[in-house]
Amino acid sequence: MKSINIIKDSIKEINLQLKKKDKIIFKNEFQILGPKSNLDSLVIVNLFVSIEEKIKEVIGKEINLLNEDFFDKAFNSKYTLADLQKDLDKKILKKK
Amino acid sequence: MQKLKKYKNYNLLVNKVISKSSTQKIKILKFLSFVDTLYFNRAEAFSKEFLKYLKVQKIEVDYAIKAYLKLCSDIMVSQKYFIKYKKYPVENEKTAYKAVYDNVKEMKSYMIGIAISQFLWPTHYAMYSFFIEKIAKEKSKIDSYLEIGPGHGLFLLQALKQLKKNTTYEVVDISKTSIQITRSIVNFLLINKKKINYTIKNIYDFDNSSKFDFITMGEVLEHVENPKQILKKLKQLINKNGSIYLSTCVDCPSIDHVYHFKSIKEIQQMIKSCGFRIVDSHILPVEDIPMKEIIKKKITINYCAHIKKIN
Repeated sequence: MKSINIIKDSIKEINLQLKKKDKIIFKNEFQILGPKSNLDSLVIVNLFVSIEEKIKEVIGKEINLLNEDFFDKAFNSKYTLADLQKDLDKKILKKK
Repeated sequence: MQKLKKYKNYNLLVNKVISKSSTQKIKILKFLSFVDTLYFNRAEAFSKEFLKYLKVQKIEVDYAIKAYLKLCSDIMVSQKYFIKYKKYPVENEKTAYKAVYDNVKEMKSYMIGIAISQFLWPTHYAMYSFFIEKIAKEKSKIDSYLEIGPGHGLFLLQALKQLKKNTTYEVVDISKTSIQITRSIVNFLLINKKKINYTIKNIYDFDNSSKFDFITMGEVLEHVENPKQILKKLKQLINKNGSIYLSTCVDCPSIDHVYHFKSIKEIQQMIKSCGFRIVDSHILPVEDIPMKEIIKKKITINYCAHIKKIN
């Protein structure tokens, strides 16, 4: 399973719990954290839990997306879905 | 936000935080849209003094903002662990002591972050207001005051400002760094100096030959393995007609929370089983959604209470 599909599935799952105006839009430039983001911290946490759990099912190993690199990038500029996909690919490759 | 601009120092802190974090921006601006003038006045007074304190201590404002954001990100990391494994990331006091209370760098950042949160988080501010209200109500009866785990010292400062001139003060904390921070903040911000006895000790080992008219113990119960033991200790330390302010929380994972309270009822039952009656209390969920959903999703609920010993 490709990382992009894992992200897509998790977004679908999380969006079910969100109001229309708060839904995550599946596009590269969508900001998870950043000046244009309106995601609540708990939504971000739940999104990452969902992705990490799906990854574990696929590769059998734990990964951690909510790390120092994420917060550094997010607090100093922005963290987009494209960044998430890049990080995910890196982590999957490393764990394989 | 137009109103915020009137409060120069608070505006500076808020803007520095919200320019860095979108999640904080949403929460803080929502909160500030419904607070009153008293809130802004208190927040400005705090910010003005706090910024002065940082300057004297040669602490950069940006360091303080980073410390606050670290607190927020640590909570997110702990929440993720809690959702995944249905338990808090820290299992015992020893681990928390080593990672936080005995770690100068970590503790300093933590204390500064928590101090800022007092005026950015609705639940923290509500508990602070509740405390101010209770201490004001009880002040004529208080000749001796004990605070356990004073942290940033803001509650202690309120007591020092409001209580009678000859009140005696005792402060206990397990962390040397925490005591140093409390002492330096209090010494800096208190105009009329008062004698305060600071003790670095685990509260279990605190000498209970002395009794107190008022005890403050904010956010301590969830940091220990056996909160019941602490409540029993409080019963020994409080005078017959004295009263206690305490606060804790339900489903609140953090880098140093050890005991997991699963409901408000559990806290209240524990307080009562240790020989206290609850005079007044506040139940404060951290999200603005129906209580049913808060409980179902295991979202943090802060709790503070004014309690008295059943004689």
